[in-house]
Amino acid sequence: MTKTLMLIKIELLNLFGNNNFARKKSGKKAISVFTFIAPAGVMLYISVLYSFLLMDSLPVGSQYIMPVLMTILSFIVLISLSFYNATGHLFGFKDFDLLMSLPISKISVMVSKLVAFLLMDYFFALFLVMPYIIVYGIKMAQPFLYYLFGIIAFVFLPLIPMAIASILALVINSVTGNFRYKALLRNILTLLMVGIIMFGSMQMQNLLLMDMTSAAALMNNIKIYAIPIYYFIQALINLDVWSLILFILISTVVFVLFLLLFTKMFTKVNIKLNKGYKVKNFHLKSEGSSTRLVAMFKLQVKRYFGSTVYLVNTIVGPLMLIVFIIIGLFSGVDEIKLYLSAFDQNGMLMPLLTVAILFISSMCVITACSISLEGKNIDMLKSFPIPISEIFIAKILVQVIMNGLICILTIILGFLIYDISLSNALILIIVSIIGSVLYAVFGLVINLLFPKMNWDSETIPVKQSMSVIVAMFGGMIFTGLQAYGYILLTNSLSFIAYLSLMMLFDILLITGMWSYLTTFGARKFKRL
Amino acid sequence: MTEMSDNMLQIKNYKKSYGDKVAVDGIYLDVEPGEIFGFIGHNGAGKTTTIKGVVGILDFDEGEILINGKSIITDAIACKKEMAYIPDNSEFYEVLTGIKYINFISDIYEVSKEKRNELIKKYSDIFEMTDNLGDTISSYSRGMKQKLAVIAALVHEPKLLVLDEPFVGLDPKATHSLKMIMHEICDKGGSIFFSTHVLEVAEKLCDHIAIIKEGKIVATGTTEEVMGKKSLEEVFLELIDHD
Repeated sequence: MTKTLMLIKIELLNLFGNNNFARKKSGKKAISVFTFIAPAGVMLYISVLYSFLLMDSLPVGSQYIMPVLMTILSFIVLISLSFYNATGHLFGFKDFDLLMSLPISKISVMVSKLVAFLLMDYFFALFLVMPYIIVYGIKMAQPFLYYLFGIIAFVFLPLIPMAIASILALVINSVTGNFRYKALLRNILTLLMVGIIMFGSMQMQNLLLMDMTSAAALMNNIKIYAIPIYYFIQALINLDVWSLILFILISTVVFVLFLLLFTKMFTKVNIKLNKGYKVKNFHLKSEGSSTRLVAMFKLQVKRYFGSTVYLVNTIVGPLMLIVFIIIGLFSGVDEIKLYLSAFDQNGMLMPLLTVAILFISSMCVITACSISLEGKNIDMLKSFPIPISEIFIAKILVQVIMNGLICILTIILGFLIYDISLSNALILIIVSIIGSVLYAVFGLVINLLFPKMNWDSETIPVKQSMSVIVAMFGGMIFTGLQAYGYILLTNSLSFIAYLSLMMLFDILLITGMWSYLTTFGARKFKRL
Repeated sequence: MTEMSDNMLQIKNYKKSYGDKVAVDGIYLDVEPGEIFGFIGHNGAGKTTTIKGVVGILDFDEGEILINGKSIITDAIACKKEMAYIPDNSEFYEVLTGIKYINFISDIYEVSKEKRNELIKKYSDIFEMTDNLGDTISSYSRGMKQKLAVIAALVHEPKLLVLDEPFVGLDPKATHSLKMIMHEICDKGGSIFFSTHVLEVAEKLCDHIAIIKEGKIVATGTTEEVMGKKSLEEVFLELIDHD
């Protein structure tokens, strides 16, 4: 037991990246705390904001819809989070061989991984679920028993999302383990899974919105499509003990079933994942050659597509653009054309499309963790006879090509399907190229300022590092400021004049950041 | 103004600190063409810090390091082109296959197509890795990774080979092959600078030896000069134990 607890402690230190927190300087301590708190802060903000907005907008007698919607949202967020994090934490983690070689039982290793993973879910759930439970309690003047039920139900709430997400990750990892192109297959399956989760959540919300006026129909839909959520809500709203017991029972049974599967598959899947692919009858062929920059770029592309968590974290946003275009094809092209034309007549079409393109670019900051992801390879990279600026260019190119191409493809589809004029399409293409370069260079600068070179799982630099958080929020804020600037100056400047000024400003920013990268940045890179 | 020299590697007053801790304290070393130079010291003595300075991974506080007369600080790319580095813990891009990694290194060092094909074949056969080059690096054992690092280092025919504990993880046959290749490089006028804990290997293989202790060179010279009438192990233990 003591060994299991020791393992759990180490897992938690690894997971939250604070294993030398006490010895860190105050500035780095602050960064560590911020990295740790920021995602929780975002969840807290979303939860509180939505809870209040919903409570205030719902008619008297229908306020219970708020916890219903928030619980569904919490389930979706927790499934997505757990799904992203399961590979790297439960499957395919780097210390598998080391842990299995230690005189510790296999069960202890599994328990430590699982408990740490579950605690991480509880940590995020705390900021996501508890606020809306409290808001509802205050607004509806609920008795003490409500809060007691809330706490008990909260303890069991993350079990089902975690089990669902881990089973999905388990299936994907066990299916792809033996394939030559396992990274490619895993990427495709993961993107499909993300698509299904998003589609499912949209469908769920549609169902709810359809029956918003009918309380009975609403709860009926929940009862059909999400039984655990139904009992959770019944227990909380009506303080129904039987519903609470049923919710606990369902959650526990699902979790136990997952545990049985996990125990059976844990070693098998991890051995498969750690094995790597071996080819039969390999014969040397004549190898082609590339320039240094192309070789470095190809390496970065392989790196990008070789890591599912890296790819999915940065590609879903831009891919959504194309998904929306395709969804539009089925839900009525003419109707959308009418909307676009109305916006165009108000002079709002191009500002909106420009903001959308820049916003998507700012969400897809591939470079924000590309230096951190070099990890222990960084020394080899520094020993190569290649200027640091070429390494930076190769990293920037990956983002510009990935993000830029998706944006350009979307614009071309918009031009072909929705009659966006050629001149507007050309302007948007220029915006998307400049935007892609801007946020790629920005991401690299931020990663150099906040590098995270020591990690056990790629999830840590990709999803839990300061550089990713700062680059994403920084980019979104900058896009927001550019949009706000247009609103302020809309009476004195035409859109094209404003956009030209902004693009010029962006080019100046790119130039400034590039000169930083090639001077101070290169020196900082050498010191990593 | 950098002074021109015939030496393949010159380390002059190299000093490197990590915060308050001095890792290497103003050392001087010369490695001549055709020479195998062994760099010996206990754990934490400053061997890897010196090697990382030589190959341009670390900036340093004071001093100068010249590779074939060129400064690693002011002419880093030209210096790096002339040498190859094999670290003590070969870290790789594990998503690549062995052949893709060697090809990537060949591109970075601008090796011609003909030359790379010839040398990949030669060295992968010597190290019995030809059949494994199509496998992903993540499937390799530690020894295979070390062999891959050696092949990748040799494929661009470096004039100076810098190795940090090169024999760790290699099987006896591969160790023998590597020693032969080290001699072959030196016979062609190249040089080898390597660190090791295996004193028997250093004793038999090296022309020159330097012993580092707490960041300072405590003995240097030809292997015979350093050993005198004792074994290298005796000399090393005496120097390390002596305060």
